[in-house]
Amino acid sequence: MATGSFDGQVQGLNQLQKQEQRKYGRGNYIPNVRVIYWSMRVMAFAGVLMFLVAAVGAWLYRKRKLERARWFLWTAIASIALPYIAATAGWILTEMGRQPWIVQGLLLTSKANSPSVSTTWLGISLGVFISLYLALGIVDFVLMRRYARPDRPGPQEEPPLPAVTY
Amino acid sequence: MDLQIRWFCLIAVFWSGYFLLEGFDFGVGMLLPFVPRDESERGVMFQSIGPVWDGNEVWLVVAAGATFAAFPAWYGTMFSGFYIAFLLLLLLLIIRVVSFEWRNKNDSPRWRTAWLWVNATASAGTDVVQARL
Repeated sequence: MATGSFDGQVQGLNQLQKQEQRKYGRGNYIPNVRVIYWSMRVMAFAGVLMFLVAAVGAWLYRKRKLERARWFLWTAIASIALPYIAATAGWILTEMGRQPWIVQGLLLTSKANSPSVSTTWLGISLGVFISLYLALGIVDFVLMRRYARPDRPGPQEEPPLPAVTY
Repeated sequence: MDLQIRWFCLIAVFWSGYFLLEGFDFGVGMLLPFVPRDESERGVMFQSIGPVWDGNEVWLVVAAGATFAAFPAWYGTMFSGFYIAFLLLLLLLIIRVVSFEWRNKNDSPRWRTAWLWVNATASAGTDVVQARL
């Protein structure tokens, strides 16, 4: 598939490593194979699983059993996580797969960091963002739970106002 | 005209557009605790920027993106040199955006007042950081 023909040759990692060493000098040009191998599979399997869940749902709908099939409804709720898992795995795949380059053939990741930003500050900013998103996520969850309660009418929206004319 | 000069002008337009349009949102945000006399007036003020703030903020995204694409060295120097300032800017923008979305998700006056102050503080804070830059 990669070469577009049936008898094309795909080069192995070790050959590529030798080629790149000749081209760009000494160094390790092989990305973390284990991580790429698994993130690719997690992404692909999560995607196929989504198709399967959708297909089962369509079949149940045709049989007019969709509303009563509790086991499927629970499966559907659980599979809300699938797109997020697939997207995250795909993101890891691209970001880890392009190592050690940040721009292929031009700039190594190890040479692309800012000398003026210390590791401490990177850690602080990462921690701040993680805790902020965690807090927002918790509030969001609480809000959604309130909305999901069947007995509680939703809060009043902002009353419709006449559009402002200029 | 050289490509560099063309891009420089384009980026100047993007940054000016952001400061002009989003500056209006920040101004309204800062006046929120002081100008309106009742809840319905507060609603009017929120709604006056409600539909446009996200469009105005895209100017910032485009400006930063264009800087990155056209002048990587400039972008790299600016964003790592002002790392803390940009971190602060981003945090303030995030909580300001949340205040638009969450304010009317609950009827309790405390909730609404809290988000109003979040919006006002974040608007003022963003302006302070931008002025410092």
